Amino acid sequence: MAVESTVQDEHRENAGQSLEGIDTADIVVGIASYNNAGTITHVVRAVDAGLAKYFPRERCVIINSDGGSTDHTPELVRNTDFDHRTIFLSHPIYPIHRITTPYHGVPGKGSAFRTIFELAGRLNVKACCVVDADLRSITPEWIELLLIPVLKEGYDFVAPYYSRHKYDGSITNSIIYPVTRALYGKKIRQPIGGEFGMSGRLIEHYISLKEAWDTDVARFGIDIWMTTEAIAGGFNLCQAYLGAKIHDPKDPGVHLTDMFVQVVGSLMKLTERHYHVWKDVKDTEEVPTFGFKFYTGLEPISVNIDRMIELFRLGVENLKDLWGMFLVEDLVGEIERIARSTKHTFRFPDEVWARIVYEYILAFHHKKLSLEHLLKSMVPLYHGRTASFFLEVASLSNDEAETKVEKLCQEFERQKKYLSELW
Amino acid sequence: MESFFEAIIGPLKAFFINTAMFMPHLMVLVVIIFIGFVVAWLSRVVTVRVLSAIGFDTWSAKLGIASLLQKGGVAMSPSQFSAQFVYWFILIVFGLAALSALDIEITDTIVSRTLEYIPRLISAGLLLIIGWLVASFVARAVLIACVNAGVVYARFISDGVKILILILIFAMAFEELHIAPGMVKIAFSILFGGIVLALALAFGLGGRDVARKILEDRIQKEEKKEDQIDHL
Repeated sequence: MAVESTVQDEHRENAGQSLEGIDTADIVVGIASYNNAGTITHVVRAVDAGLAKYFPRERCVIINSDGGSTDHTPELVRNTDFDHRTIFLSHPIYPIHRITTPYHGVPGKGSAFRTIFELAGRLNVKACCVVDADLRSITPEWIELLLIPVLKEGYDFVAPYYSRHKYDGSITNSIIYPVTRALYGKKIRQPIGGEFGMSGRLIEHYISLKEAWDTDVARFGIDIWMTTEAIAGGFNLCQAYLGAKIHDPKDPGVHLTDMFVQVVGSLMKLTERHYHVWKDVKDTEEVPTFGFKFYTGLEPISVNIDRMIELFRLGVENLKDLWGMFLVEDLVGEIERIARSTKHTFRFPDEVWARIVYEYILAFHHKKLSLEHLLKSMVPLYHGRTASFFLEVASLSNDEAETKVEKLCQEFERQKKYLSELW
Repeated sequence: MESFFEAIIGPLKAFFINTAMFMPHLMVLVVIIFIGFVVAWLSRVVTVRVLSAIGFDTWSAKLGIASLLQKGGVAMSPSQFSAQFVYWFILIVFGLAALSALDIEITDTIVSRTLEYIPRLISAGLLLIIGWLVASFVARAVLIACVNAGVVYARFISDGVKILILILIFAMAFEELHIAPGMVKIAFSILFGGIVLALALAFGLGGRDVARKILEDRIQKEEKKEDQIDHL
């Protein structure tokens, strides 16, 4: 305990040294980076322009929390030049400070955010937003859309809302969004979007939840954790339409299984933690959405559906006995039936998928298997469901595909009672 | 004539005296065994109830102990099996105590040697149980990892890992029991080395074509265009 405390104190001290004479600020924009030399200049320029254009009277700080990049990302953050006179008639009253600091602790996006939040807390900010460092489609308006609802409308949490390709965000579409919406009754379309706006009050709340930061929240679990804690804490929520999200491909070193375990594992832990919040939620409601929705051209995405079906069938062949330990018998039988179907008839029905996800959450709650084995054994099923969804929406437009996601969400809402009864 | 009767009565008298002296020991033996049966029976009942109350059967099912018992032809639940184990253990301990009550040199020797051996039996038993659990856990982790990596021979690899760990554990248990320790070491080395060599030969010679195909498939797979999906 003493060692942990010392490490955390040292962590805060190191982060605090980066402030170098900046006492307070109104706005902090955090950028978590790791080897993003290709995109970081664009992101910093967009953030800088956004702050100068929309918040010229506020004291603003850009904090880059870097995970030890070897491609000079922090140097690029410090040296990116932006001449406000080329765009704006008036200059910001205060200079926009830029801080770049390495983060400490568990390597991952969550640890980077922790450093940003702690610095923002020290500066006693009114609002803070975070953006990914690999973004190609970020514009100055993103900063306005993420911060204005907090500064002008009194919201505490602004989730992003993007136009995405129908094949993108498959963990979001098949698990995170339907479960979050069914459990907590809030239609936040991108709960793990990556860009968020927050009030100073919410930042303080995040910092106070110390026990979470040494879990998968320190890695890819951060996004679902931030969203769920904002909902469960009763903070004012809204969404901001940002347009298309185009970013660099994820680091190939980050395996899908690890990412899946971190995100879905965090979702399950949060479901356990906030049972008292979701057990009585009966209805689902829209959350206010800011921004002007417009149609954008989306880059085509290549997918290998055959490979997904292959991985699903391999999972059924080898893991059906394991699934039998926590999935009801008829569900395993249904999975086997799906595995036997041909590619043309390959369909993973919504009711089967929703039931599987809830059975997994129950297995986690009742500790029927070690957490890592449980989550990793779900990956082949996820491949099967994703392949089925891709086949189903192949000939549909992005908007038509969205109706399929809506239908799945309704199925999760319908079956929520099953989860509550067996909890 | 008198000496003739003495010659007959003397041994008989000695026999009856010895028997009379032995009878209390025999009585003690009977009493100890009776108490042993009662204590063992009570312990069995208590063990079943306590283990059922703490959900031992569910826990064992998760760890694969229940399926192991089923595969071994044991038609009892893990809690019943454990209670039966406790029953026989207590009965054996009381049996040994009863034997030592006879105060005969040979039984004393048997009792003392058996008692000396009991700690080894317990540690070997624990070794086997822990070893089985570790082997099952590692095999399951390997199976899931191989499936997620798209390895077609996932089950074969997982079973192979489990067998290798179990061989190691059995060798350690036999070593602990001092059952032909030299032989066990040699047998283990030959068996383990043999398996590795057999696998190497099978893969390198017998399965040349398969190995080539796997490597080719892997290389081709790497050359194929990867999915561009952002899963999050």
